[in-house]
Amino acid sequence: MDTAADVAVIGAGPAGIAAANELTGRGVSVVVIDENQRPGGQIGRLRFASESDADRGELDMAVDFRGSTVCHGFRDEHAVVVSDSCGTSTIHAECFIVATGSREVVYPMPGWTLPGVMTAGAAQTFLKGSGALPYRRVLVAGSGPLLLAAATQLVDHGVEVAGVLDASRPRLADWRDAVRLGASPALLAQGADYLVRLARAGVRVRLGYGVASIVGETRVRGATVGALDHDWRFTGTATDFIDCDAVLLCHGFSSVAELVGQSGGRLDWDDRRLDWVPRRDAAFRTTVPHVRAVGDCAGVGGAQIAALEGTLVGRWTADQLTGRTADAPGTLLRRLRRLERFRLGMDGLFRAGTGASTWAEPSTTICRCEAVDRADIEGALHHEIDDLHGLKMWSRAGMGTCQGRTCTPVLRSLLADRGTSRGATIPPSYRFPVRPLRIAALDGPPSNRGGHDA
Amino acid sequence: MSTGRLTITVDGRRCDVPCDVSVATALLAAGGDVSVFCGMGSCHSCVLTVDGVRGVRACITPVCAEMTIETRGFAWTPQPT
Repeated sequence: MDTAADVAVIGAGPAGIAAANELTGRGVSVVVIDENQRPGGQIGRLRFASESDADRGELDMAVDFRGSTVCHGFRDEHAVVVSDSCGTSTIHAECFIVATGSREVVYPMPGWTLPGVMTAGAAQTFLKGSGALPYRRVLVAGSGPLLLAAATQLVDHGVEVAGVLDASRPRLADWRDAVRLGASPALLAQGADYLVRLARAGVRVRLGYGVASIVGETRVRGATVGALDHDWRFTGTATDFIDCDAVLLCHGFSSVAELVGQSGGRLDWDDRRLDWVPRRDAAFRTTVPHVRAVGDCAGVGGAQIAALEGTLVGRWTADQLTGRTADAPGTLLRRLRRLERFRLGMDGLFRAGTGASTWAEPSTTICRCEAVDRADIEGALHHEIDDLHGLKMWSRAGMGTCQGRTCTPVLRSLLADRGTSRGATIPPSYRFPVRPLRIAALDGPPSNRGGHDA
Repeated sequence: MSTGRLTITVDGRRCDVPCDVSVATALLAAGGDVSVFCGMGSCHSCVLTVDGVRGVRACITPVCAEMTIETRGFAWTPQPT
């Protein structure tokens, strides 16, 4: 059955929840959808429930929340197609707030497709959603503060952590820069707390280290690890073997901006984040004015920034719809700027090194969905294919069920090695449906609003 | 945390699994290896057929009593006992 509301919020993480609560408080009708059963997003994920659980975490009980609901894209300016276990329907709204968050970026190394290799966030999903990670001894590797958070959570749940390897090796001067940029004392204290707790649990945190290969036949048996230089290239032969039955990886994050792109919103290359992010004005409007984007999907910034942006976008959207202006959000904006400065510093410290593209061997899978390996990609590159689109056409990398979500950052890095600057390429084009849709569910062809048809 | 159990059918085999967990966790509890990669519905590594519906993501779907899951050897490998 179709739904109509003043505002539709896509994504019930910190940004979507804050926006929906703010709008509801101002008497604006709002519907919130999320692919997950319950609100919270990845960071505030609630336990899976076999029956509908009344507890909604932070989300206002007055909000019309639709869990386990997928948004496939805009069918026209003011309508999105969604599906749930009952079928497909349309949500009509005056304004849309896209709060679809981010996903982890993983650079492939031999063995990364074995069962037991997953993202650090996936392990957190197991812990938060299902109460346990069914592995005995895990290795955590990648880059950035999430590794410490995930490792600490694992230790708290009684999982043995075989080590934490961060590919980055921030120099003292880098840390000084981060602090000068306005480091958030609370976030720094949290990081220090993780380090203390891991040290107490006997977990070794090594900077400038990475996983060279993951070993196992049908499941993970262990991993060889070694030292990396500042560009994330292995400095010698990795000979250290670490015994483990799971490897958790996270080399960074990427905005989930497909819906903005499909709506017709412009995306810009962000060289600091190595990612395409929606272009926004000061009120978080995309270049499609009734579509606003907040939180990680508009440039990864973390949960605190997401929640602040959500609150602000809720106010501004309510102002627009009700014609009444709420209090000036000066304090919120100042907090947001401070957090953004800190984030800028952190991004600099943990930015993916160009050497990450050297980890995959010719036989290493790059595109998991279509089983395209590195040799296939190199074959295309030898034929002077120099953009993502050509690479897809040649090798089918990025054309499987996940629609390139997992391998695209890796393909960009391989292209960059060949001299195609990651930003010089045309923006990704996202077409309906941005998530797989049963063909029987379509009753007519929706228009494709965004992107290039090149 | 709930301590309840429920029964599902995986590739024709009856399995006793915990409740209030994802399908992915239930399959791991049923003694197989599951190709969960992103854990948040993005990578589609863990897609299965559940109650006749193809393309269900095991990582973000809650397990329910009497679910019938077909893996067709994909995303789930039973471990030899």
